[in-house]
Amino acid sequence: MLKIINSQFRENLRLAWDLAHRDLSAKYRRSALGWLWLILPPVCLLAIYSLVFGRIFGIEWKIPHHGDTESVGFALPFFVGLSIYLTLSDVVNSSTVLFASKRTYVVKSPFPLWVIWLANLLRAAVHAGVSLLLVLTLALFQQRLTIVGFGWMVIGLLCCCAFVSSLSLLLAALGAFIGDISEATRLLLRVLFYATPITYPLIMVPLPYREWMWFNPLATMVELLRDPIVFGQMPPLQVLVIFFFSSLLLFGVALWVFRRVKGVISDVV
Amino acid sequence: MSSDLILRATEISKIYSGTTHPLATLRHALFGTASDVTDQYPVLEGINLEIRHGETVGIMGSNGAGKTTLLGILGNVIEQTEGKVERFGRIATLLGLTAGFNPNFSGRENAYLFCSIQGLSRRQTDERIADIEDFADLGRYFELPLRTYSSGMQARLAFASAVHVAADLIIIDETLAVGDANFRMKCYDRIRQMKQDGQTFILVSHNQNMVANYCTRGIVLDGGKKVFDGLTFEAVEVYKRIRTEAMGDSDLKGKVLKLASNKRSLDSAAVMKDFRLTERNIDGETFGVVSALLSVQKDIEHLSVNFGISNQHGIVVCAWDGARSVLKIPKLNSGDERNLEMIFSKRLLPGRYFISCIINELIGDVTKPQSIYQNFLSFEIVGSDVMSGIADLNMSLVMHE
Repeated sequence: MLKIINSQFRENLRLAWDLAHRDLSAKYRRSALGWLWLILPPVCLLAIYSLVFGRIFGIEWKIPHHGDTESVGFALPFFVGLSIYLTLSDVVNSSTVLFASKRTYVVKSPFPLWVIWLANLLRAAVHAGVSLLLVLTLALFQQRLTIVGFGWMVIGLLCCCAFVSSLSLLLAALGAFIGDISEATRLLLRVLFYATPITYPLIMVPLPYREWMWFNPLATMVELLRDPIVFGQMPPLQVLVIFFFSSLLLFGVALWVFRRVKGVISDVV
Repeated sequence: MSSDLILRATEISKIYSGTTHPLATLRHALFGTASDVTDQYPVLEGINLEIRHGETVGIMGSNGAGKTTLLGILGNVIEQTEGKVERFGRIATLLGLTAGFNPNFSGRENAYLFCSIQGLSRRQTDERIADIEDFADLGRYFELPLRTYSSGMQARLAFASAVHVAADLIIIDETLAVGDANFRMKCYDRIRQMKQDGQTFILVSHNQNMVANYCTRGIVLDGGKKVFDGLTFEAVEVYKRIRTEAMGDSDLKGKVLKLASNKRSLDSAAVMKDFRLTERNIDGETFGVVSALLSVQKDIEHLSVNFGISNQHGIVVCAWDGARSVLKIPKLNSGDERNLEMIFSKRLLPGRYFISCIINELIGDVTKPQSIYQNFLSFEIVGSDVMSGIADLNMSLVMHE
């Protein structure tokens, strides 16, 4: 019996990847540039923001604990934040309408609903992976990447994955019932872009507000990854641990909600 | 547990939550507070079902009887509200025609996608794709995007993919009804051949002939309950009875008549009542006589009555157009009543027949319906089954030395 379940599980994993692959190839099928569109948006955004915020506003990051002497410029720290932001908004925006937009799969196809969720995550992961490669390339090029930094980055990435996928599951389950969620999150994401130290360093935030930043999960994720990638440092351990356990808690909640509602999702989409 | 069992459903029920209050549905699902959930639609109640290897099970039922929901639950597409389904093998589900097809992909890519959804790996699909292409017989369209297909072509692709999935149980819903006659024939042949090879099927169809011809077992659903499970032949009879009952006749033996509820009065300047069906012998031949009382509620210059007989398949056996006959009913005044008799020869073969009639007012050459009585009477002809069809043409075979 266990063997059957196991083989079914692997089959579903394969199907999820298949669906993700189809989604991606369907998206770029009718474009002349094709898969180049995976790279173009982050690169173009990086260029324009570097011009406006880096050159015109002169924003830059200083290496902490080195006094105010050494700067790492704008591009790399910003690009880390931007990549996380793009990934999060991609996942959130697609998750809130996930089951409604994949209605034929929900009501006509004989595979579990979580496959649809996983397929969407995998699709987003391809985008995120491309961004990660670009970030790492830039970091190598600027000679900022260290072995220690890379190790902490992997740990940070795992925590972020746990958080993002739990959030996606929760939003997908609730979004099927509450149409307002997709509208609200769209608005919230726009706010978050500026409420998060993406285009500016955390150090520029006045002290009383800086503490509150840690309640913003996007800011937490950005700082967790920026420290190791840009500065080759371990992120604040306290933040890492709290974030990890919050993600676990969120996963528990999302799983509970999803298991409760999955039976009636096909009735309401 | 019998080893040849593929599927066992125990006491499954499905209640659809209404979509008018998704929040209430959510609250109910999360916390189980049922008090404020008002719009729930039970579609299936306490269904027990076992499917064994080699069976071809036909499921029949009127629209809304719960067929598709049942298939969805058996095929693991929809989650049942109560009960449990045990599956002992791979089940391929073909619900709705183009489930999961993407209009921008070619036929070939969609066939791959279909097989993938049904649980085949790419390599397994590679082995089948030539057969699928061959069976779908789409020619060069197989490489073109699905959006260029006609609906019949999409059905062909879907069916071709479905029958090559190699599952222990294949569930097909209403898909054979589309496509041209040649392709349908091909589908039936394929099903027959697969049946001989021991393939197990569940078919859903409105078409009782198909069920009668292809299934080894018939299940009839009515109002979300399983009302019959057994021999195909009997299942078809039960289904027919349900259909005729829905038309307003509860009596199967014929003779006794009942005014159908689906009488439609339009202007109702003239109505008929007190219908009776009797038999009369005229010159040694049996005629059916429908007598009725025509009652007029306003002055009508000319009136005509149309009546007709159709069989259980809805085919009109014979219809009489009063406006074209010389027998027009002359001027009637409000309050007048007349006895009418509609007479027809009963040279019919065994089966069930329905009588309908319409009262028209004639204004110039325009006919204006006053009352319509659709299938308001039914009767049954019994006899030998030497001849089949509709009309009794007194066929016989004579052999000469």
